[in-house]
Amino acid sequence: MGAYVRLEMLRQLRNRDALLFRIALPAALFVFFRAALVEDKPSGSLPPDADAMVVFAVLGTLLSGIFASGPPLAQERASGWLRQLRAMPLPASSAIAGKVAAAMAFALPSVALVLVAAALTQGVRFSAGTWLELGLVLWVAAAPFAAIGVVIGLAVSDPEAAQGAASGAIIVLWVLGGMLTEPSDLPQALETLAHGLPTTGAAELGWAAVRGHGLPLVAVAALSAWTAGAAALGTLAWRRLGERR
Amino acid sequence: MVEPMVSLRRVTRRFGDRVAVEDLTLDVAPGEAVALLGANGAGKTTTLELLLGLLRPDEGVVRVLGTTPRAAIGSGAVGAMLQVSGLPSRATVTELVALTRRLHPRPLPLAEALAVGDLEAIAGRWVEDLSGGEQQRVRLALALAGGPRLLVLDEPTAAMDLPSRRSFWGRVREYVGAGRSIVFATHQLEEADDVADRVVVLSKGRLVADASPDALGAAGSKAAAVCFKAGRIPLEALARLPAVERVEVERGHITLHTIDAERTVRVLLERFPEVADLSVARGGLEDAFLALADKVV
Repeated sequence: MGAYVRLEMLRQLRNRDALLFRIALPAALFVFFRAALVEDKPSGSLPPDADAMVVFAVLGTLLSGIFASGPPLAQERASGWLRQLRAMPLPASSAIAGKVAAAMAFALPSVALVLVAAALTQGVRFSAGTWLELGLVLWVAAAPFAAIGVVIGLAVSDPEAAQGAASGAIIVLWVLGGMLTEPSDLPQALETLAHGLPTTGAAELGWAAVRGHGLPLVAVAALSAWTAGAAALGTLAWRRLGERR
Repeated sequence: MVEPMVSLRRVTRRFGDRVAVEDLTLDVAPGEAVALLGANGAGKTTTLELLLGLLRPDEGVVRVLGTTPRAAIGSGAVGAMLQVSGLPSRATVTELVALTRRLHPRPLPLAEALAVGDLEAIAGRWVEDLSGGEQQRVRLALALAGGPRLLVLDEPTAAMDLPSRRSFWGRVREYVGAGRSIVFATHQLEEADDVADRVVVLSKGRLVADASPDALGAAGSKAAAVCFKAGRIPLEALARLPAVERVEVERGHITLHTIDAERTVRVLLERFPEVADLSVARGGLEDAFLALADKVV
């Protein structure tokens, strides 16, 4: 299994064009939006851009997690490579773990770049320990998105459709997760939904970290449940890969 | 009796209304090289995918090395080259071969795995930059790198010219020694003849013949398509001629598919002297199948 995870990560990191785009986009959006729509919310002793920084770092994990796993997986499925893997002694669980891990390799630099941009352009300051914790929790929060991407890649057989499905999932998770609005601005039903989404969970982890609070256990549980559920679905889908027509 | 490497018992697999494999029973012994011969749509690929556990049978039982196909794959005892299989991008030849070795418990040494695909010179290249023929060699190396006891190849030489085909089978033969089996699909009689100890002929999902290449060749050599012009001969009369399997009419030309050209033509000319423009084409694969289906089963 280790060999598969390692090669998958290497292959992801060699995808320079995608890497640049996905890594740079959240940081670029953060800088742009903060410059264009500066409207500081009162946030006590918190650096004014810290919350927005978390939101855009979550966008980084979301983009990296879903785009790095979903569309390439659909492509590999269409090419027949996944069936070839199915004819090798690679357990389904290892294959899924490999894909999730490889997508997460993408998320780390993406998150890091948002944090660096916040520090450099907005003057956000924290202790080294807080930066580290923030980077770490946001990175780990990419796991559910990577697992959701795996499910999309395995469920949607056409690579172009998978690209669309991945983009759609990102928009839905981003908007319904209340990343652009306060969840309380959403209609009641959507607000309830928003609290269960992994985007919300990831942001709550980040917001707790910048405030020096402990880990929000509800968010951790939600993220774990999303990861486990999507990974289980992905494993099932992997086992059915041989089937055709 | 030695436990068979592969055993299919009354296996049927459908796709919707279409029956891809019907009531197929087949054993492959250790050390045997078996060709699955048939036209497109005959059920070759489905049969191979059933024995790899990529497809599940609707009816019947598939066993590989005394266990389920998936368990046999999991044990690393099976190597496969599927008909359609892309290779992942942004990986080198060596990386893919090394990955395959790491997944199997008893792999070939890396150098040997590269050599079996004649890959030493291109070992460091990105697989997406390779030519079709080179990628095919990579896929062979991936099928063999794990040191499998059973090698499954689905039309592995379909896109190759004759010299590449020869060297491909040369490399496979070099690898496959005592106790190792090969099951491969082909639609080429010559290939089945050259490589296999046994030829299993499939037609429309059914096993129509199971014979040595010699028996197949003997049957195939007599099969032919007899073509001629004849105005008013009733088709039923032609269909009743000896050894005729099938009659086709196209724009005044009649074609008789026969499993014994000599017998058919002798009686044809005797009974219908008005036959003109007669030509006899050496048996195509289809005629050989029909001949075998009649004689060998």
